[in-house]
Amino acid sequence: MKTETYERLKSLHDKYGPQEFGKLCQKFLAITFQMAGYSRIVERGVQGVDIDAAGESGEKYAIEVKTTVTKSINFEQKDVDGLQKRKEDGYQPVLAVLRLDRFSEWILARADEIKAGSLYIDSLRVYRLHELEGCTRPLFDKAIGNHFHRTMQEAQRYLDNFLRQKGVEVRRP
Amino acid sequence: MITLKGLKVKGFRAYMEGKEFAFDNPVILLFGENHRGKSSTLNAIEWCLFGNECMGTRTGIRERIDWEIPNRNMYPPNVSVELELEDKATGDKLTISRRWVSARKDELKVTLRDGQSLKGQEAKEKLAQLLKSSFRDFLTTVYQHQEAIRAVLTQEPRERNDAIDRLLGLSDYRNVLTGMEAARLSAEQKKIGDNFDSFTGEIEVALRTRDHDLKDKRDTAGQKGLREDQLNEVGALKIGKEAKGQLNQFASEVGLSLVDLQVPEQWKKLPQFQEVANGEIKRFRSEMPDVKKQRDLFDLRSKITELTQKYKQKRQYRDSTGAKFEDFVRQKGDHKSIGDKIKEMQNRIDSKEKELREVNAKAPLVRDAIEYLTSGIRISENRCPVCGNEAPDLLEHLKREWEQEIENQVREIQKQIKNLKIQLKQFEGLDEEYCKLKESFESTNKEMEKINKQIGEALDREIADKDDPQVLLDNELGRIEKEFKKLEQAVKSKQETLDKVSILLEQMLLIVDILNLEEKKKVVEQIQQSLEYQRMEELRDQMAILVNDVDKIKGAISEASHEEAQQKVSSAGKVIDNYFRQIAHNPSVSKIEFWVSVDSRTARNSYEFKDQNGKDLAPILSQGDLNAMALSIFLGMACSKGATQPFGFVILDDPSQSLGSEHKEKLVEVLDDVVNERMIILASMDKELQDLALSKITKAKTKYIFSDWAPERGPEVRKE
Repeated sequence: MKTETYERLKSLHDKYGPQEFGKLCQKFLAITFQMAGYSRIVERGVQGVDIDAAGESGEKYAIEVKTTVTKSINFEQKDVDGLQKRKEDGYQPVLAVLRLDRFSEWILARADEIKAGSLYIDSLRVYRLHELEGCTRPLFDKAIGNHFHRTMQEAQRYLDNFLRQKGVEVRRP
Repeated sequence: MITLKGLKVKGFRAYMEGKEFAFDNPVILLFGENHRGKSSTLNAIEWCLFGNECMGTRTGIRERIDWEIPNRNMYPPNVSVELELEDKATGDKLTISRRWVSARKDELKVTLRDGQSLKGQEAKEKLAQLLKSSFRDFLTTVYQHQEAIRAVLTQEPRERNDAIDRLLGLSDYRNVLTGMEAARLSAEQKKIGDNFDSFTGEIEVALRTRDHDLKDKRDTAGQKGLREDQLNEVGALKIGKEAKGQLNQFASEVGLSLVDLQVPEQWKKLPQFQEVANGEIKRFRSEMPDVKKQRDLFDLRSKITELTQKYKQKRQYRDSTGAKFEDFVRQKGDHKSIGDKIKEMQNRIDSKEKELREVNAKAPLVRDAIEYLTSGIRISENRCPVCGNEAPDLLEHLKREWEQEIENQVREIQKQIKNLKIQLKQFEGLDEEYCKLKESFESTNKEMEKINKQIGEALDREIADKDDPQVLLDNELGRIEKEFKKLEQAVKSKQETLDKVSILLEQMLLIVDILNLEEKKKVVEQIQQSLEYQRMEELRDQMAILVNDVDKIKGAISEASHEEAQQKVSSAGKVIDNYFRQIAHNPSVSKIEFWVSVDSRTARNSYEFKDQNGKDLAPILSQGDLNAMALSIFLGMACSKGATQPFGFVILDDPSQSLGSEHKEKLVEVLDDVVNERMIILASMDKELQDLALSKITKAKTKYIFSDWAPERGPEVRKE
């Protein structure tokens, strides 16, 4: 992640706190997938898997998003169940983890075999989807660059509007 | 199934001389006190079958760590053990012999029934085919070691689980798991993460410091009139060009030449540009013509001011000297009048001295006459000593004249001369004073001439007597001041132009500082793009894979260990239950169930013994019970139908430790059962057990008595 991206994420985290920051990152990740050319994207602020992203060539990802400032995350059973459900619909379960840290990047991990519990982030490296990470990381920097200032002002509302404009289905509670 | 037929031992541990044992009955009893060679006999069987496998730490038997094969008293060592075996299934007979060569080497020979001898690899392969099992299996199902039994006696569940694993032949699994855990891979992975975080932390601190510096610089830039959109490379270069343009224009305006000053194409070279430009500004400040003029004027003003001061001082001095001189002349006269006075005084002194001389000419006559008349010479006091004429009261008359006339007269003249001389001296002093005043006055006039000449030179004109140099100097100073003011204005304006260029250069340098700090921040991104970082990322991935793989392997080992334990327990469980109840003969336990599960924390096998009511037995088992338990497990494993083990014998080495009389009796009853399945080789020093074995085991027995042992010959054994 670019230094600038980190600084901006930190500003968002400082301004909105960890919970809202997590939701913002989820929406930024949805924008990233939209920028990567995934045509059918569902972003959920409600119960269920956080993001569905399906591409024209048939790849389908169900993504559970976790953000943290520590070295581990809580992957709950309901997350496992949610992903499993999407898997039954043909989606590849993905656990997307972002640690807010100077050198951190999104880890996009195949979640098929990951069990619920407190997970040490480094242990997820085993399941990394390198290609997907390689494609989305620079776009995430770009997404932050494009939408940081408006997000600082309007938070989720702005990102939701933007996602809708881009044809992303945004489900809010 | 293999049975033992005979044993020949020589030079092995307690043995010196060769001894032979015939295993010709279902029960072989080795009786004798401690240190008589019983265990060496049993060990010889082990060593002959397994060689170095039964030595060292991997055996799990502490005493085997530094185990010595050759007898210490035999030199050179000549160790050999020969076992005669029979395969019950085929009736095949063969002889295994092993000869010790060195601590790491021995020679194995297998002699087949037809007399064919196999050596080396062939012999090893034949033996392996025959034994069909490992030394570990041999330990758990054939040879009961006291150490394994003792380990079960602990009340600490983890240690007991470990001991039971050993009894079940599962300690390899446990050892592998322990080895894997000792590697502490997860901890190492976290340590790598922590180290990386610490590195990130240091970078974070450095970046915060730079951010702080950057903010300061940006604030300063704002205060210095720079806009945000100028704080970049383009802005810095543009300001550099502007500064150069202004310097060029200035140089041509003031008629100076600018050095070859090039604005660089890269912002990083701007500090050098700034250095040269600043040098030029400094030079311009001192070399521009107006400044030069200003400097000349300043010098002139200093000179005129100095001359004015000097002139004032000199004139003042001359005036005061002149006034003194005039006062003196007025009061005391001039050189001529004082000279006249001196002459007059001199004349008067001369005159008085003449007078004195005249008076003095008569005085000696009077004085001599008085001296003569008073000398006592027989002359008349009234007769003149010169003319001889009689003169009445001559002496009196002379004395009176001397006292009243001559003496007074001389005194008076002398007094007058003295006064005249004083006056003369005063006049001479006045004359001297006059001369000095005159000289001083003339000297100040000369000084005045000199300073007037200097003033003339400074003002570049002749100073005539009628001129007033003071006024001339004041006028000149006035003129200089006027010119100064004019120049000051011009210089100030030019300096201000140069000041503006300096400010531009400072702004430019400030942007360079900001760019430098931003670049340093970007180094962090370069770190991420570096090969080293990529390599580290790969290594962290590999570490995660390793940890994951090892966890999976650990899981698989744990599962295999658990499955094998369950299999063994289920196949031997009934026998173990039966034997335990028989040996322990605990009235409160009518049934013992042997449970194995996986400890979720350690992933190791965990064993539970439950009674007929499903209650945990561990808290109520005595040491004797636990010993009985260990023996039951061993014997159960040895006799289990499910165990596919090839050995048709069991070896019991002093099994009655920690057993009471009743336990011993029950053990012998169990052995009487075991002997139906396996030949029993029992070594014991326990008289009670010996008697029980002889009287209660219903199968035929061969008894070897180990009565004595001596270093030079080894054990004394006799067959009964």
